[in-house]
Amino acid sequence: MNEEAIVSFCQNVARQARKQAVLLNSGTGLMISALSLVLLFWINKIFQLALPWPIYLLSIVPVTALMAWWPQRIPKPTYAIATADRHLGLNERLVTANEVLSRGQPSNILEQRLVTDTAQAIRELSPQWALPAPSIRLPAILLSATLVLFLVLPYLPSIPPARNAMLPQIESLLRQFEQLESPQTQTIRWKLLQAKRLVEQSRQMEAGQALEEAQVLTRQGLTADEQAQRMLGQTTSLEFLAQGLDGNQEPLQQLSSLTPAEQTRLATMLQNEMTKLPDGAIKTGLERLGKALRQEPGQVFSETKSLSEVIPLERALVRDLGQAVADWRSGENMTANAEAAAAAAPADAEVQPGSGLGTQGGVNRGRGEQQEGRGEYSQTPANGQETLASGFIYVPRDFRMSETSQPLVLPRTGEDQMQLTSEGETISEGSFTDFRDVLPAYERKASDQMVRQAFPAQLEDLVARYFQSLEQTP
Amino acid sequence: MTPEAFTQTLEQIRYELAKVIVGQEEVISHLLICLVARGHALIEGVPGLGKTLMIKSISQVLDLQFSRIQFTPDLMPADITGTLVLQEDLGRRQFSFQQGPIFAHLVLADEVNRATPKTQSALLEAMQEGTVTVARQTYSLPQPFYVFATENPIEMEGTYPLPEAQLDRFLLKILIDYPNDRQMIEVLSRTTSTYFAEFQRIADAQTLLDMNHLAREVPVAQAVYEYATEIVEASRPQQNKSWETVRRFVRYGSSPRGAQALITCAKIRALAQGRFHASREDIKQVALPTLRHRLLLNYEAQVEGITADQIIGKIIERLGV
Repeated sequence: MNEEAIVSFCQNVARQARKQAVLLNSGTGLMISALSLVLLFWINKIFQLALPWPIYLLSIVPVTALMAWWPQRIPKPTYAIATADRHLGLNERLVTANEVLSRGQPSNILEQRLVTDTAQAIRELSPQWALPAPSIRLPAILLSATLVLFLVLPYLPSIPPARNAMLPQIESLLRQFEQLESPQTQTIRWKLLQAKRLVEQSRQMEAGQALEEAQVLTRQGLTADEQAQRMLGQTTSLEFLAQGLDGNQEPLQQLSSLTPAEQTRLATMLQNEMTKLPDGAIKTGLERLGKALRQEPGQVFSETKSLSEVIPLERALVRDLGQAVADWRSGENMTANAEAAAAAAPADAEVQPGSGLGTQGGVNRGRGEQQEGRGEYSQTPANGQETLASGFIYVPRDFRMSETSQPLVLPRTGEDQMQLTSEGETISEGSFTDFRDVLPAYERKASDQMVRQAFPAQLEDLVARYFQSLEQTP
Repeated sequence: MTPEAFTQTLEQIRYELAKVIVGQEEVISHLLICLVARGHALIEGVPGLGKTLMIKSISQVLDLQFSRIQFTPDLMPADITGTLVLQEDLGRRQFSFQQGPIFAHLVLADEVNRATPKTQSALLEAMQEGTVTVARQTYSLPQPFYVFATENPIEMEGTYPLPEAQLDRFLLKILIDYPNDRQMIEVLSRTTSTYFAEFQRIADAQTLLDMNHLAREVPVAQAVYEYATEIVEASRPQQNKSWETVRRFVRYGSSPRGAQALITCAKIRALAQGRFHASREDIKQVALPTLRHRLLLNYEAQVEGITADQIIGKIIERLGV
């Protein structure tokens, strides 16, 4: 009777322990799952990810794992009985009696007394209360955390998702590329539009791929434009474009006022350069400009302006060539003057007027291409004669056309004394002399001419800088 | 013998001893445990605390052959075990064994640490085997055989520390402290008057053997065995899982005899308290007298004043319930 009571009590205790373990593990698993679910909601809310519903099934994993693991966490019956023994204050009485009975019937008087004593001790005890209350600290913490996170969920701020950050970028890119009209640019624009649509559909991965493709195409286009820019920089004949691209109307007017021969030559050069260019925005612009120069001179201005608008990134680079445009124009005038002077020069002239242009190095520094191009037009006043030494200058006909109609006499004494006659030495028109001898007179003459607006307005600055460079020449 | 008789016998012995011993209940309990367990006891205390009187009274109450040996530095082993003497019988002279004082149920080795280690070691065989060997002849000692040795604190001059092997053969090492004020007054009242205590014989040697047999039958749970083993293992600095305190202060931990002593004493204590099983609490209560002389502390512990009792207390505290 006593033995049965003890055995039954121990079995009930073991069952109770198993039940507690199952409840505790299940509760913990549920709490972890709930917490995981709320965290997924948090992530979805904060980052506006629009997670697909299968993702939420991940929250079942903790429950499943604990359910699979719980058989290992169920305490052994001996452990449960020992726990109950301690909890009931039996001082190993129940454990000892259980062990005695597990070996069989009590074998001596002490074991019999022990069984009897233990049976009496547990008679009033319930197995349900034999075990200490399980520690629910972990599930309680999890539950609290879950509740707090759930309550805070509606008030969570949303971090601007990637698509919101991408949309303005894509739209800005689209605005830029809308001004570019090359075929490749159209492809890039189509890719950007596709990326924009994908972002709006929260298909970030596909949108990213479309953007990458657009980036590759853009890089190719930029490479082409870089090559175009490099060629432009090496082509002084096209440098006049810079002023036009920079918004200055005067060079555009000059461009429009080019003679048909000049326009044809410029178009030919453009055509030559275009054959070297890959597809790109600048190439497209140059093609249009070349076509306008050949066929529709009236469109030159608009095409040039269009070219400046479609290549904003290249404008600064081209603008750097503005100074060279004026040099090219002034060089052309000077060459024309030299050509006329050469016709009037005596056959036995000792110097070469074409080489005299070398004294303008202060203006033409680094413009080898320009000098090369100019050489195409220039004709020396005395072909075949020896080169003029540095420091000599050609005396233009403008001086002969002075209002006084007096022969020019260089001042030999007193540079501040403006005299048309010197101490007996006279320089004939169209000849060459040391520019230092004539510089004050030239400057004075030029100043007078500018005051009387004898020079074209666009050349006044050129003339001023011309004399300034002469003054700086040693 | 029944458990009730066991408990009753012990109570009666306590009652009789209380006639002459004032207080010292715990010391008496531990001595009774030794008697039931057939173990030997080492009683340490300063002179004048009634150690000898206590043991002599026990022998009277239990009707045991009592023998007292006063250990002195010049005491020889043969003075304890006995020796061969030349005797003449019917004209023939032959050696005969003259039993020493060790041939008794209860031997009081008074101030055992005043003898040299050589003489102290004369007790080894008797304590462990219950026999004495002299001139290749082994003589059995009367059963039950007890050695209750007293010693003065080793700090006192003229003492020799007991060898470790002999220390391990003592079941318990019992410390006797000074009586408190109330007890002191009672002592003075009894010893300075005509008070005379007459003991009643409660039990005899056979009763102790029966009690020992009964105590051995006390069931012990596996968890209690494990607890005793954990305590003993924790006292060994050589164990991999030993604690820092043990590694620092203990030279040698308890031997397996320590674990045996723990269980044996726990069983007797449980029976003495009317229980039929040994518990962890019994182990804890007997751990100090059972293990304190089995832990050999190192020099650092001696310098820092660390005692074996402190180490054992830490071990029990660390192991918990």
